[in-house]
Amino acid sequence: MLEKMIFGRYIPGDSIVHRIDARAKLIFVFLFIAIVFLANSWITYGLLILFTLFIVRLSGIRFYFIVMGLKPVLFLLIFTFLLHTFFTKEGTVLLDLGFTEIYTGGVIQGVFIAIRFFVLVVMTTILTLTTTPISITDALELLMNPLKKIKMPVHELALMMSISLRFIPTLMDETDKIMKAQMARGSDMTTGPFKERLKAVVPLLIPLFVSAFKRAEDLATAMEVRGYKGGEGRTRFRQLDWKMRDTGAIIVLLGLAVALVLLRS
Amino acid sequence: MTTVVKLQDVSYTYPSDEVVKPAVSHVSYSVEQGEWIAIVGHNGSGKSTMAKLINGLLFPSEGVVELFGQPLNEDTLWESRSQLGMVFQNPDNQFVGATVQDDVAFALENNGIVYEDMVERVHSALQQVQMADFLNQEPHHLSGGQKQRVAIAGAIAMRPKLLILDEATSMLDPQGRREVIQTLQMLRESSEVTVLSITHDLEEAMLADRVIVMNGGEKFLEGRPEEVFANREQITKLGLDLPFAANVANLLRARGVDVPATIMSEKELVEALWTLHSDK
Amino acid sequence: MDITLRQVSYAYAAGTPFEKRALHEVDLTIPTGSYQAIIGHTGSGKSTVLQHLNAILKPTAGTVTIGEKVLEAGVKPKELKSVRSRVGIVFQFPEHQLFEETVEKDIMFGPMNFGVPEEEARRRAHELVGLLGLPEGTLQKSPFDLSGGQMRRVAIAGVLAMDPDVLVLDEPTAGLDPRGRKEIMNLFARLHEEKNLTTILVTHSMEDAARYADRVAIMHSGRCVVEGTPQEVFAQDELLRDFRLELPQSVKLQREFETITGQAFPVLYLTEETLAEAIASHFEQESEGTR
Repeated sequence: MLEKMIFGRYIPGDSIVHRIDARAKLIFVFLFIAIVFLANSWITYGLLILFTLFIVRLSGIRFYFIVMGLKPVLFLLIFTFLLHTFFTKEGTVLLDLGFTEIYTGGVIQGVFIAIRFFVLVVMTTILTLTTTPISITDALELLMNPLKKIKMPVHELALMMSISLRFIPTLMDETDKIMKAQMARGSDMTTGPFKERLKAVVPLLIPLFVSAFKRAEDLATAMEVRGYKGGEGRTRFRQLDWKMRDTGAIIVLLGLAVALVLLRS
Repeated sequence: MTTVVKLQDVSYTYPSDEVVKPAVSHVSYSVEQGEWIAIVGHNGSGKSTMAKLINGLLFPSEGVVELFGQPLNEDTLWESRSQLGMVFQNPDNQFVGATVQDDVAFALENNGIVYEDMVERVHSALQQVQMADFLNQEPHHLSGGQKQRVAIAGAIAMRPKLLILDEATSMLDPQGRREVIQTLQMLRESSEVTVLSITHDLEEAMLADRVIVMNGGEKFLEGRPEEVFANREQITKLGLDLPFAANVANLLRARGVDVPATIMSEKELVEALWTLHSDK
Repeated sequence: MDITLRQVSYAYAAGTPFEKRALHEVDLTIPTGSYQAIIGHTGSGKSTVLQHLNAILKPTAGTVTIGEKVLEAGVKPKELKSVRSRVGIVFQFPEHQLFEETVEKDIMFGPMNFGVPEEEARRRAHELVGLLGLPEGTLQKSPFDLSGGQMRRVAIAGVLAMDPDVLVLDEPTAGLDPRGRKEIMNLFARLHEEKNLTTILVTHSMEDAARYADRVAIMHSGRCVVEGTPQEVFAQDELLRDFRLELPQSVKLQREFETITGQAFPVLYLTEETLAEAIASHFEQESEGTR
């Protein structure tokens, strides 16, 4: 029932995008988010789309997955497009609907915003599809390491994140299982009036919480027995390796930024 | 020979218990280096509490637990734990790492082992449990038996003096159980590790050098597997199984077929039946 | 209430790149009143079959008939409660489904969902607690304060309280100690007789299938590969070996004994008791013969 979720799923592969250091990819995506706002004309937005499609191509990810990634935000995409189309009163009148008029500037603005939205979603989808969640966690931990100086529990946060990620599939299976067990006992959370459905969630949530707490307790015991006592004095098994190509990726992105600055009107 | 574990008149009562019956009551025994001990008993016999007393999750209300020659207390706890590996019952709830190799490395990281050494140890530990081909697998793609083998690798990567198995096979399907038992058998042949296995699986208990039967928190029987399981009536009364062959031998004897009362394995039973057949 | 699977296929996440075929054209008929065992390794598809037995999963191809209810692939079924109230499923580790404040309320949850009046549901809860050998006074306790074995019994009571005609059991003894296992399996055997249930046992255990079932089906890679009486199924040593399944221990020993004596018994002995009986009478006859 929950098996169609695409967000946060990693698609194994061996493309250049897969192989780039997770830190480089994170920096890349963050910079890209900033750079997108440089675009302000047809040519610059066109360049953004081309660049994004180029990255999709490089990643070797099937377009299907990108579409699946876009699906949940499709509504938002259309909504922002319409919002701008209706409320930007610039340029000449394109259409007179009686109660309101649509201006050319509005349509253009709507398209631009939609493109911005599209490239951002596609880029972040590519990041999560080509990077294992654990690498992202590692990258975050390493990038945030300086924050340890101001007493941020960086290691603990990263560990928490990696354990949560590791338990997501387990808890999903569990949810599925309990849902089915309660369905077999006549509880129905998929049909009927909203109030009834809400009531039917209780028999699902309580066992889930009970089991999650049990798991947490077991896990804490296992970690303690295996000698875990915080980040102090720990070594790292997972190593990240920054290579020339990682620097290269960032340089390419900066190149894009320069191009956008030069081409924007 | 060095003593790895020594319990002297150990008792433990859970503080929250309304019933003041101790979970473990006046238990003494010791485990020598290289030995394989099985602790058996039905659920609630006190065997799991015993595991917690040995790994320092609980401290005894009475008596002393000695690990590696020194009494186990708050001061010696972490040092002792670094020499002790443990595999728990639920395969899912002890898998900390995101992938197989990360999980095996977890205890090594905690103990500050340097990177190069870690890689070597992770690989050799996984080889020992025949999971070397699964380095980058995520836990939810593994079967229960495979997860338990990874847990064993995680424990032996620390090269522990003592390996404790706390009902490590009880949640597995027959195939998984067989895998884990085979792995343990191989470990036993290839290394000197001392094993304390808490179980109600007979096959696992039969692997041991010595079996301790727990009942109502007390040590009920102790001896070599064939000695212990020779007390058939007592064992059955405790709600434990006898090996299949022993069961059949009992049934045969009750029906006047003269097979020896000491039969434990199917091989012995078949041999006895051969003898009977050719005597006729 | 007969249950029939005809050419049933099922795929998880059908229509996505993650699609995973779990069942391939499974044919299986479970007549009313039979005790059917479904055996197979983990991943053989036996759990997927189980979920079709009360329409938790709907086939992606083929038809499932449960009593008068026909579930056809592609056709959205209208009303499933009547089916679900008549087919009770005890899932693996059923204690994970407990959630109510008291044992009594938890046992009453199922029947009340299916419209059984509160008083009747309570009466059933009281009756079942005794039947399952739980101590008096358990009813008002929180299910989470019980021991693992007791929680298992409460969960089973919760399914039995629906008073189903068909009882589906998915590895009902997993994780229990030997005594608990025996007690639970004997209880189901007794209920099967007393309540005229149709019982479907999904299991890894050849011994349980041999001892309790009157029909055995073997699942392998999503297909139902063998079906018949235990006598028929366990006589096919070679076939079972192909599917990496073991013979029941008593049958294995019987084969060894047959090698010793050089003569085969006319039937398979599916429990150690019947086998011991047969071996004993063999020796008796032999000694009479030599006398």
